[in-house]
Amino acid sequence: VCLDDATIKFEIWDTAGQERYHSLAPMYYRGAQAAIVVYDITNQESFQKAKNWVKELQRQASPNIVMALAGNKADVANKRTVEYEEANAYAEDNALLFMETSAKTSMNVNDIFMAIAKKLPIGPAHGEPTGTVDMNQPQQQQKGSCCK
Amino acid sequence: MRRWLEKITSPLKPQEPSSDWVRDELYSGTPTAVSRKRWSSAYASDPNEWERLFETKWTVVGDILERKLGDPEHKVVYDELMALLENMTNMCTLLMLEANSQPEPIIGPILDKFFTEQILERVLDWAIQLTDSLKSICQLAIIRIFDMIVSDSHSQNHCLLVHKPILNPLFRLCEWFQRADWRVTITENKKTSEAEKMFVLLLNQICTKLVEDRTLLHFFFHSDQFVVFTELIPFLYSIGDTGQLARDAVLLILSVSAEDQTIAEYVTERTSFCQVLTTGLSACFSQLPRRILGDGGERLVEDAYRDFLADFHSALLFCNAIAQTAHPDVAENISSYFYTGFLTNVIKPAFLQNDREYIGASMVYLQMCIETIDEPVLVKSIVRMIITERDDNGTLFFEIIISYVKGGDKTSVTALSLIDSLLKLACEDVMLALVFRPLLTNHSATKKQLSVIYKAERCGRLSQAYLDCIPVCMHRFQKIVSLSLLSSYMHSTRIRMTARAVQCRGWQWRYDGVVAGSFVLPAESDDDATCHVSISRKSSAGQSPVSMAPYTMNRYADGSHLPPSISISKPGPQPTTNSSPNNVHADLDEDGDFILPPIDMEDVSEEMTASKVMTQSTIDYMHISGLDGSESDDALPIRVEESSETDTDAPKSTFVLSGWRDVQDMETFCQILAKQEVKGERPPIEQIEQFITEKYESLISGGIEKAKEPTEKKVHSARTTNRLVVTGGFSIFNFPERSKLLATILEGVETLCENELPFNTELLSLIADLATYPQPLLAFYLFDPKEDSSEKHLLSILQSVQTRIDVMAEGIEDFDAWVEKGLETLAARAVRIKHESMTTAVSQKTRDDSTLLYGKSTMPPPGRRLLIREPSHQETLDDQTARRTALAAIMLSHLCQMLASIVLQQSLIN
Repeated sequence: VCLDDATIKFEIWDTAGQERYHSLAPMYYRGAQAAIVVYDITNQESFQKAKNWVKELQRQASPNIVMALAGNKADVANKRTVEYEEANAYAEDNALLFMETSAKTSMNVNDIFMAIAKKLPIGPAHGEPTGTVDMNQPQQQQKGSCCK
Repeated sequence: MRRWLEKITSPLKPQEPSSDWVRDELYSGTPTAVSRKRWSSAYASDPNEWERLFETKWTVVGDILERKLGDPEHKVVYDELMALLENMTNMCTLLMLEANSQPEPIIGPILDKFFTEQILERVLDWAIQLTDSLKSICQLAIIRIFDMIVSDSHSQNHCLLVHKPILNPLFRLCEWFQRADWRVTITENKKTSEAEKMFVLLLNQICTKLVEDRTLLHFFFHSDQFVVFTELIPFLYSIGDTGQLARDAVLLILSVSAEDQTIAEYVTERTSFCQVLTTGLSACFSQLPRRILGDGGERLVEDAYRDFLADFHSALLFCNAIAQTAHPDVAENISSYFYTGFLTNVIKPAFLQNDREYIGASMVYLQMCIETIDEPVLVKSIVRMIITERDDNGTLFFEIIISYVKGGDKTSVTALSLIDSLLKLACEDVMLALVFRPLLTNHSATKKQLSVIYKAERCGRLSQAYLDCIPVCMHRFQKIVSLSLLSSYMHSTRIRMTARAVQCRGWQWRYDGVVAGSFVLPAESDDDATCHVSISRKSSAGQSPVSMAPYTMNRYADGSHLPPSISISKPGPQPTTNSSPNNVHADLDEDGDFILPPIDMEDVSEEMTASKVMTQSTIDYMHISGLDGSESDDALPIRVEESSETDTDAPKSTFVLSGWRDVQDMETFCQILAKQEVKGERPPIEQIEQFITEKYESLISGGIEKAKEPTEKKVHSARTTNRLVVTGGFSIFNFPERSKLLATILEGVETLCENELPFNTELLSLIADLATYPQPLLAFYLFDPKEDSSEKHLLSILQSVQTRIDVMAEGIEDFDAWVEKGLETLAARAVRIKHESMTTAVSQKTRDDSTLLYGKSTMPPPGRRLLIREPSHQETLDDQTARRTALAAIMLSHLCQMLASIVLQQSLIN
């Protein structure tokens, strides 16, 4: 993403959120500068799990990690079981960025990355581009994005 | 496994009078040997004393248990816990003393008490009710107690775990650990990792026991549970000792159960072992740096990443070891997840980024995989990705790699190196994709020419031609051009070519233009450029030179991680141990004068080395495929066959045309005819018709009676279906492209004078590996001059580079000094790389070609910072030209001598 005069390159790792891979998660978030914890707004249980992830990150990840909470599937808001206010309040209490997103319609997807980019400290660590970890997604991919 | 205990526990503390020592023991990690020390010396041989002591202890413990039982509100305090634990520990010590003192496995009074009073069960019941902070202390102690029970027993007695009253509490303990909430509630990381480590150690000890006594296995694997194994999975990638203990344990348990089909099924279907294993690789990969320092040949990482690199490497080794030791079904399952969960999910996307440097780093990591993994089932996955995966534009993965060779930067160098590592696999599928398939359709070699590849006349003549390409200005440098250097090349190439020939022994085809016959390809009809080659072909990957393991010796290599009683059921391919060419024998004196071998005036008029008995159908075939319409008898008709059976009883040197000879009836004949693909310019219809009629008639005369009309119709339809009919395989003839790899190599040589040193080094190394392949088709392409001047060939390129160098050298002031400097640079680089690479494994390749390949690329060493840099002052253009010319001259000289020796050695191939 482009921010003011700087270009920020995101190296994104999509972790497998299932319980069986839980023990591998530290390897992903250990060196990460940012983390996005994603839950499904139509699934209250996923929100609870997201909270556990937040707790774990707060405890185990880098103290400077920029964390964002994403309530996904905003496109089916009629089926929601997690209220915006509830999640927002939780995010505020824990100093997380918060947005409801939709991967399907791309709503707020760019915005959440922009928000993370703004919050990042100037200058990447170790001369490496920022790493972002996505928690709770089923599939693993690596994407990199750079503004044109 | 004793070493593990010693490793993780601190030295024994001096005895202390109060019970504080118990607490200290629990916290500091002193082994329970302390308690044993206090007791065993005094009471070593008095079972009555043990029993008496035991009763005393048990009374104390029993009371504490009762207290809680009687009053559920009672809050257990710290001292109470300590008292219980101390006494429990002592009780178990006594239990072990009793167990070990008995020659036969009988149930002594103490053990009996454990049974009747259900001691362990009750202690666990009690422990669950503790407050969190006390719970963790308790857990640790109970783990230690079980550890004592498992590891302190001598093997001639049975393990106490066979008893339900002991085993069930152990299972409960495991369940306790499994509960995720336990992990989350622990607030102090130190205690967590301590308890985890002890727990994993316990599991590890159990696995060791399993190895000693396989009958124990069914205590742990039953009624749809595989307790110990399942517990270990979350710890596979834990940091430090815990992870290593877990991995060793898993390896043990899988090796013990390697023959058991039920367990294998359970592991693959009911556990997430394979998924976690391979996903963990992805996780390791994610920690790796995105840039490799150095020039691409010399590879370094920053110190901060050193451990992650080591982790990745050891994860690869572990995967490999598992695939080697476990049941084949498990290995197959791992291989499949390796492909989907790691290779295509992580490695492949890495290559599709728009970050050239990152791609360069990923190439290094992929090369690490190739060089570390030698278990065929996993190599197969890697090969599969390389030759079948495509990007969004349809470009094949290996083509993507080759495309990065252009550019002359670090990534180009790593691309060359990666390709080289693929060549070293000597896998037929890979070579087919990279080299042979294009060659088969697009080469200009006549059969005659191919038949003399191994003949002394050709070899002698050509080797002289290559030697003639050595720049004239280099002749005066003894260090660079000399008979002794040539001799050592002769020696080293001999070794390498022999090794290569051994690797290719398992190949299906010889690529000699003779028996090139039927390709066995699966039906992939939608895409005729698809390289979905059947990978049932034997890959000789297992025999490739051992991987360069820079910093972690392969702890699984010799099976030393397994207890001696275990022999790995599927012995992994051992690294080929060729004799060290460092002992360059002086007895190469036979070549001392380097006399060209006498020209063998063999009768080269012999048209084909193939059997002179060509069946009629072969000739027929050549007719119909239109190949000898315009070409000489030496043409190579090659045909793709859709059936998978080859004529196994056909004489070896005839064309393998499955089915033609055996066609007995009209129907089959017409069927096959209908499927015939005709290349390019077709022979006139009449000719085809005439042939068909002839054949028909011969069949008729063979006794098959058919009505004329239907057959005519059939003939007609056969004629009109002379369009491309999709067969079961794909046609060689529809592969118009020449080998990108070969073209890229030639381009690289053309620009030898402009390329930077690391690029040239890798390029020459690649050529060296390619040239050692014995197949005539390739040998001809590489070495022989071509009549068709539109086709570039190596010899002419070398000649023009030679001319260029000589001309430029004349114009360079004090050229000799530049040459000397070049030699120094090369030598320094070689030393640096060797020094940094810590090759514990013998890498004969590097040693063989130390003459040429200064600074052969290696795996990233453990984070050594760049020690010496090339002088980075600004070079003038003149200086740059001079430097590059000098280096190119040196490289060319070496290349020529090497090629000369290789081509000469070809005459020794029989």
